[in-house]
Amino acid sequence: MTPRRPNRSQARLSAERLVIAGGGVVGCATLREFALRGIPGLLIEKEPDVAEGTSKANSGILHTGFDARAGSIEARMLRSAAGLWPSVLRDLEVPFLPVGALMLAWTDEDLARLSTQFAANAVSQGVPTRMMDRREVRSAAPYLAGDVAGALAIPGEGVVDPFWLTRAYAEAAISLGARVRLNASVVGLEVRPTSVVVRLDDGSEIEAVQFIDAAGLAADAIAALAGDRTFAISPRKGEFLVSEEDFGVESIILPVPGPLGKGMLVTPIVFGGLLLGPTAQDIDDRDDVGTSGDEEQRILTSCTAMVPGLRDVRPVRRFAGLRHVSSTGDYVVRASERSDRIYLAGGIRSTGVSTSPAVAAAIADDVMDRRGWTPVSRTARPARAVIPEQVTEVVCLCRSVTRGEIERACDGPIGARTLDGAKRRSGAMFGDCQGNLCAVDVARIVADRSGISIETMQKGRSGSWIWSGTTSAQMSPAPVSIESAPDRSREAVDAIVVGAGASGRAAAIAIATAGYEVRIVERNPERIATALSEAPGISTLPATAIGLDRGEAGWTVLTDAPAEASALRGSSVVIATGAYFEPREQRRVDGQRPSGIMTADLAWRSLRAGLRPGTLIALVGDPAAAEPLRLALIESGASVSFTSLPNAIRGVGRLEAIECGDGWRSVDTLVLADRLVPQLFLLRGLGLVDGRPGSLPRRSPDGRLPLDGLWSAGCCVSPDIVHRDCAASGRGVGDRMVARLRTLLEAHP
Amino acid sequence: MSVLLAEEVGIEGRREAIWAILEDAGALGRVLPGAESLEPAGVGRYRGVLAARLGFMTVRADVNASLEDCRRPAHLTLHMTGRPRGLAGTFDVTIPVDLVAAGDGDSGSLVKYSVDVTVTGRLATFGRPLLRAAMVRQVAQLVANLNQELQRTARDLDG
Repeated sequence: MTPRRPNRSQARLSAERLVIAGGGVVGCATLREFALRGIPGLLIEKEPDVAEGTSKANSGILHTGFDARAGSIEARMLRSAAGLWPSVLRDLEVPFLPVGALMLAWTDEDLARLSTQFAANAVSQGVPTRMMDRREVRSAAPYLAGDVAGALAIPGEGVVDPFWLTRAYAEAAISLGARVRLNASVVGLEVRPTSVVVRLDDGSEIEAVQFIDAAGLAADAIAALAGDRTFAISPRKGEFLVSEEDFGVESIILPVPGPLGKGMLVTPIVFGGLLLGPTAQDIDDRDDVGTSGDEEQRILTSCTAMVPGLRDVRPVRRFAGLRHVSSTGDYVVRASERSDRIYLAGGIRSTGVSTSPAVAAAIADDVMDRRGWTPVSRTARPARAVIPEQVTEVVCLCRSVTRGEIERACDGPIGARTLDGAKRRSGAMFGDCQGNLCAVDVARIVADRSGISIETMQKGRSGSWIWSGTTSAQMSPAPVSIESAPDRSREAVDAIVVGAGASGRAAAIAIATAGYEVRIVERNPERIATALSEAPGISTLPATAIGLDRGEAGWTVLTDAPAEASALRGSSVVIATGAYFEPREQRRVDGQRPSGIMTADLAWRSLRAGLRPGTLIALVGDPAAAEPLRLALIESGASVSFTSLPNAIRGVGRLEAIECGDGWRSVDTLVLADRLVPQLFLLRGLGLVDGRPGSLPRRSPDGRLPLDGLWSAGCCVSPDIVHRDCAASGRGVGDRMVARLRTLLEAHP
Repeated sequence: MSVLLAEEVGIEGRREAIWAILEDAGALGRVLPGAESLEPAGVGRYRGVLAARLGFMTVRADVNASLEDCRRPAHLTLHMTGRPRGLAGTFDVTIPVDLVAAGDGDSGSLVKYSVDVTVTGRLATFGRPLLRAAMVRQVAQLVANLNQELQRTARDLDG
């Protein structure tokens, strides 16, 4: 059915001095720049959040422009931005690391190019660089491949968090009276003598004195609405891999660039870990941000050649971003030939983050001059504090992100209204499990805080619904009444067991039965209740363990509980923290990252919360082991079938289909219930495992870990263990710990 | 987390004057960056609240500090443990310090130190580079504050 065009006389018409289309980093920087000059504008963004496009999917590098094409607009903007960044970073309080960069040479020819081409170009751009010989670069960066011949050091390069930056730009602008309207698309532009009428998809119209097109990939389409077809944007896809382990890399590592761009880089991430990539593929589909195994292999081959330690990398996530390549071969930052009341900011290619303050300033300079606007200098209010006042309970186990932090993420002028929005603002769901353990809790907080219903919540971009509705057969258990044992938090015990799953409970019972003092730390109240039902009177602490500390007097388990319970002391500790199902993000499944792909962890949590994961579900797992989940999903009203792990998936907002080797099949949900990954975050702080998901510690056959008094049991160290054997594992460790404690007591009565 | 940084820096004051500051809660509270409060909690021990800037956010923490392994005038270890307010996590910072007389007539001091940081929970997710960058800033501010305090003390003595 053809949509009925709104009656023009009935269209709601409002007036604005300034309207900006596009909530990416350039659009938000421009909104702020005008606001700082006393012109608070209105920004229109089609997605539910700012930075939902390319601005969130890039390396975050603040390029100096040492290799920019001389005489280009991009080069000019990079040079200009370099002088602006110190004050921008200070005023916006965004995370930034001045890591510097090393462009590597492998041959004499490379060295010559570095010196005669790149170093020379850098001089012309006013960018300090320094040539390093083989000995010097090997000394400065011992993680590099041994056959590196030398390098060009660019000390001025750094990294920021691109989403944080974009949001900070927007919030600063809003503090000065600017506004951001999300979930709104520009569908028409009508040029008038002294204004531009901007038509939105909800039928409303805005008469703007000035319109700025910062619509990224859609910049050409937006310009064409006004009849300006002087440039075209084509997407160039760049795929990345994310590693939580940093392999000792402390600088941006890059090869000598090729014709398509900088090549594959190894880039430190502001909050730790590394980005590997990006690739560079010219594509046609402006929605294609899928990743592929082939490109992943190319990334690994290129990056491992520079940093050999990366051969052991286990990516925790893969993503892709689309660079905006203009047909003009350069930035398009100018007034439209159609009318100077339309200003273009397109073709920003891969340096949008780096040039954002300069592009914004250039646009503001030109527009204000053209419009005769007199700047009135304003100062934005300091950034909102992102840390709550009080410690609340940990919600995201992988990253120790608390309820209070997630609530804060929902507050403010553009607070989180989607799961991805909460993730990017709080850091929750970025860890190993990729949100499968905590997404329901995070969604519940976002829903409560923002007043939207949890069942309608989206993952990120429009159309990315997470749950297909509520279930009539709600599995939420009755509230668990846990009779607290007397608070003996201050007293040291013989053993602390972290985790009250099958192995943890069995270990604790074995230790307690032998007459030793044991305390269980567990965040799940159901498991605590089970432990108490099996061993009434056993000491428990409903809390999340967040760290381990070894002292002269034994071990301390640090928790998120308040006061004295925050540090439990014991002679020994049993780590029985279980495992999580391996998420899609850790696997090679080609395609995009729509909603609807989850592990059994999230599926079960959804069902228990009365939320239906989907209606047409493909379940990956051993049929015998996953049968309870299959039945529960059917009970929720879904159609479920077992399948092998797909080779590829299709879907932009929500999953649409999977390909398992026998053609495409329509599904809206994929549940992974086949492989477990050990949940050993507590051991990372002790250096017993590194940051790669699935890393296992050295462990003796009797369950002892390399540090005295530290033990482990169950699937947290044996992910292939059959679940029914977990209890036996825990019991065995408990018995052996008791034997050890008796030996120690006899030796030191 | 192991040693985060190891450096040496010149201070414009005698070693004895530096010790006097470290052993005075009021003076120490003036030189420790972000110290909102600091009170004695025993011999060579302090308790207080520090606000540390991580560059993009300010983390306020309840801190216990102690001067350990004291061998005047040449060596001490500053040990700080604490929990940030609002975040789930802890930190444990150990800073062994060697003081060497330097300058004309030993009027100054060369301070050699290393910073060993162990963080748990949320602080650990900020990553070593950010924490290192924050620590470098904190130390730089501490040195500046120390020099300022030493100059103030010298002026007071002269006055």
